[in-house]
Amino acid sequence: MIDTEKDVAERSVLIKNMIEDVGDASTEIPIPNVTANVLKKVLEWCEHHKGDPIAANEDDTDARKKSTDIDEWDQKFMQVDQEMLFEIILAANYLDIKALLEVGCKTVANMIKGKTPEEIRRTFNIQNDFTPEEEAQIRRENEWAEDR
Amino acid sequence: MVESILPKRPIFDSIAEQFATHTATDVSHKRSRTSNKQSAITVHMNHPLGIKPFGNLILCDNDVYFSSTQIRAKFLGYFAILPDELISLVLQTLGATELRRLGYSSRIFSAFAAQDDLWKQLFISRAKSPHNWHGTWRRTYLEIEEENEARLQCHGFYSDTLYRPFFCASCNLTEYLQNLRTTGSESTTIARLSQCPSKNEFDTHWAFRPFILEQHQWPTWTIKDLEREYGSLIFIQECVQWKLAVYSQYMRHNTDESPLYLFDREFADKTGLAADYKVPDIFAADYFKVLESIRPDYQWLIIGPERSGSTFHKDPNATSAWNAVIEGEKYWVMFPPDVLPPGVFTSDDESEVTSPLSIAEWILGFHKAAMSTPGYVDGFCRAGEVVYVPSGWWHLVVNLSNTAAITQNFVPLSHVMSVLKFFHHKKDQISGFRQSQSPDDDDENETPEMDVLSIFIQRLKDSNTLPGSTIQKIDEWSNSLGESKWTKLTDGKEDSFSFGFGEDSSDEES
Repeated sequence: MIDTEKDVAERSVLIKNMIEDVGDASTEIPIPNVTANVLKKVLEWCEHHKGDPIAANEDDTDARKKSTDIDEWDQKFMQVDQEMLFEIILAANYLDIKALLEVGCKTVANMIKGKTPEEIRRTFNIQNDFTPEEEAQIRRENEWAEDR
Repeated sequence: MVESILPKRPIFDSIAEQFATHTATDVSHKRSRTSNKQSAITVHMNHPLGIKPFGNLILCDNDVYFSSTQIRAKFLGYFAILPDELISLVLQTLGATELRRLGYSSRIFSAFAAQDDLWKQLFISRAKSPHNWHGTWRRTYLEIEEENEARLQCHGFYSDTLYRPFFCASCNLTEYLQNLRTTGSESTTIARLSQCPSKNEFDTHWAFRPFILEQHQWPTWTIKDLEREYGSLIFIQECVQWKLAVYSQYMRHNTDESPLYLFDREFADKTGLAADYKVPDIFAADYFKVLESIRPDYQWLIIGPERSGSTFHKDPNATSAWNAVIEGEKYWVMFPPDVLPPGVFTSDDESEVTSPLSIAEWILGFHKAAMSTPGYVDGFCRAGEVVYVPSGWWHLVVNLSNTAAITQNFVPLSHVMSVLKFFHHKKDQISGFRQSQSPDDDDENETPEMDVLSIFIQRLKDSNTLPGSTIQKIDEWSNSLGESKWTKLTDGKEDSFSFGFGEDSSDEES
């Protein structure tokens, strides 16, 4: 069980709705799908961002989506191993914390930027299952598609 | 507005159910209103990358189920803990180069990175018109021919996220809908009129219900003719503006679940095609004409391939509409103003309408329920025919083949009061009006404040075109609004209420 302030926990739309339903912020809220160490980490982010205005979602997502700028504190916060990074993304999605999910996605995007497919595999622990013929096709497509 | 391209699917289960029925034994869906005919939705091909619906995995034996989990872990790496739709969401953050290279890392990633909606979004955000359409958004973005694209298969991967768009784009809607043609009962079929009703019959009866008018002299040009004549002209297709020649390539060869739809409000100026037809007499009395230069867009040329169309909506400003098919065929579903179609969600005042599903998804998931909902009517409108959509009616329309149509929004005598009431009760939903001083200015981002209600009433009266009984009705209604408010209204003084027009709703199907 983790104690936290109401306005910290309410960065999560899921928790916010649950508190509203229960009508009492002092109750225990079960979060069965997130392990304690991930939840602690997520709450650390919520604590830092508790004063942020809730993003006026929808309309401006497109503009922000393509920009991979992340503020400095968030960058430091996201310096975790990959396993934790994806746990955070999973938890942010489950708990419905849009801004944190976005930071997570951008972090992944930045990790892919500038890397070759082989480097991408190493970074994310992906095994290569292409046949030599398929590799040849990829090289060929890559030549055609480079710099578009 | 560009919406999130891979939205959460609230009724995903019903679609998943469809996958299961299609892949298992082609279970047919009995239509509630038919006794012996059956109508099934079928897909006649396999996913080009070898993806299978997730439901199939449940039917597999344990070994396959177990190995599929291992496959996921091996070839998705750390991404494997994310559900498929979340992986797609992460991929929306990537630029084209990153997306392409991630797709080169494993077969499963090649399938995720090939999702054409991702490439459509990249293409559109780049705001560049293509010289040629290459069959998919990915190839068009990368400017590569099909034979130069790597053919990477992904057999043995089960995913609804990857399978669903393919299913919706390739299921045979036309076949399914054609089967309805012979089975509809009179009460659920849009009336077909072989003869044009008289002006009086229209005003007193037909103006309040949808119908299809079978006879009228419509232009005889074809889409091919337009391509020849106007191929190098730019037309508006939803969020893009392409040359007609390029759009034609797209129309004849695309795999989109909801294909881009040419919907051009400027065609009359661009082509002179508006001079080719005469508005049917019963639709010619159009009381929005009095608005002249501030009138919202009302005349569109519409061209689109099979599956393109509009999801459920009501036309703006309580206008009515007619829609004439010049080539091809459209399928219409309509509901009366007070019956919310199944699968559609609105805010209390209907200012927000959410139709979360593509047309194909709606037909797969909700058509059956819709048909047994009171008020439901449907109909096919073929070349040479025109459909009438009364003020306030909900409608969904889908093209069954490459289709060209002309549509106009208008205000018939019988709905002048509906429009006035709309202006009064739904001020915040008034849309599309232009500033009178700059009629050619398309930029409606500036939101002038205009008292549309009083302007409309004043101009109606000035025009001397309304019958005395209608003027009397307007006066009675105006008086019932309350003396003080009405005085302010007619005086147009500083206290008069006013409203802004920010929304450009001019690209709605009618």
